[in-house]
Amino acid sequence: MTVRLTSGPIPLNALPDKIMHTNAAIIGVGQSAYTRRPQPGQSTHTFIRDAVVAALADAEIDPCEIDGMAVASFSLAPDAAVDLAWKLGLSLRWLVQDTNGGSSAMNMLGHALRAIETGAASMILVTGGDATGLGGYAKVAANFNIVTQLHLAPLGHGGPNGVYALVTSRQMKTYGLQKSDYGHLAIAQRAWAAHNPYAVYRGPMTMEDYLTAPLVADPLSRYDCVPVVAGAQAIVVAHPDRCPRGRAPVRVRAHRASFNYDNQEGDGLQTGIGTFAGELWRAAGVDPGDIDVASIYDDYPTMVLAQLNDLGMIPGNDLARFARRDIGERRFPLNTWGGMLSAGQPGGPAGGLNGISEAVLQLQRRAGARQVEDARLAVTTGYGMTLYRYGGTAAAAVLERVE
Amino acid sequence: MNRGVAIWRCVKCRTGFFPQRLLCARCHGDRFEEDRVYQAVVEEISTIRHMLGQTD
Repeated sequence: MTVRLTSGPIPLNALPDKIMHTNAAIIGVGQSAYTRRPQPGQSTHTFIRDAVVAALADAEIDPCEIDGMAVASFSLAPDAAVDLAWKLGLSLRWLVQDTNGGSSAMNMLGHALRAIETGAASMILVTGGDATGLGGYAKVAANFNIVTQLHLAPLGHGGPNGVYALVTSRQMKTYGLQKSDYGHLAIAQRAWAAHNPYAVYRGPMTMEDYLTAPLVADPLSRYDCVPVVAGAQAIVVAHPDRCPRGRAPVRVRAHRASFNYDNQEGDGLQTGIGTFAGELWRAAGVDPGDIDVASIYDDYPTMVLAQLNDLGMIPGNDLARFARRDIGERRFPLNTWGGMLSAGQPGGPAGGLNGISEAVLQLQRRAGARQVEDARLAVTTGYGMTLYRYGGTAAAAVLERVE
Repeated sequence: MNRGVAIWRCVKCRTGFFPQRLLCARCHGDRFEEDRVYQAVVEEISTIRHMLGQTD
């Protein structure tokens, strides 16, 4: 599948004098297999190992060159980041363990970029993965934080599905959305997933399939809820000069994050992205309309629309028109690996890394049948850590192909 | 009899919170007293039809 873009190249005079991260780039990506049901002998650690091996091979570097690592996982414990370093045989001078769930990947990317820029490390592995299994994830969800233990799980809230069911109801009423509008996102992403051999769900989905799927938590039905898988992702961040020969490094023009943006006093229809979106675009020196491909964290279609709206990528805040026209008619390349909704969510951290990795593949023109023609700029986001009524963390970045 | 729901009210600015916080999000006061509310508006509802981890 080749998508022809409607936006033209960015005029040179639109570029700021100083790119935020000129001396750091993503030079390699890798992932493990994804599976709904991990087999005996497979664990969070083995999936992370597989992703790390793939990323190092992709970046064409020797493991001995790695001097920094960032990791995020809901199921690494009782091991911590240094245990993983030990088991991977990596001696490091920079180490981060991130606990921000769906925005961990974006958060770790920001930390890694700054570490490379400041010389704290020169070759950083950023990884995440989980292999909780369905039962294990239910335990994670019921014990997500103290408030969830005390006030949500005892009600039988059903994990995040129950929480985002309420946010979705509110969004439908506020923006005049129909159930089928969310279906456009799920169906479009499934069409992209058909070209991703790692995706756990690749078969075509029709609107009838979507609308007749069993309800999970009204109004959410099966295809609105991200499927939990076991798997892992990894990327390598280093100076752009270390990018394998013949391949364009991917630089980050701007990166911003937000934590506990509203003390849970809103209704969840806005995310923390709204606190920094204007600053993000100004720092990147581009506009939302310049973006060629987007990886938007998609645990629920509801939150994809919320994040895109916060980014200023939905004209007139008309979520329904955007879903029906831009997504339903395949005018905008969104979550081109199928997103987590079709590829699967190997925990929030690795799910976010998958979106970053796909953006890198697109900008390096390595996305195969999914390739968006002439992709040069991408936006990636992360969203997560449901504190009580909705997520409390968010991050976004504008990525650029360096010619 | 309606027993109400316990909330925590900032002693300094009287803002009510649920769940309990460590500092007041309005004035950052560090002292709270328990209060009860007896009326609230249900804004959204859902029916949980499938629990996480449920295989059937």
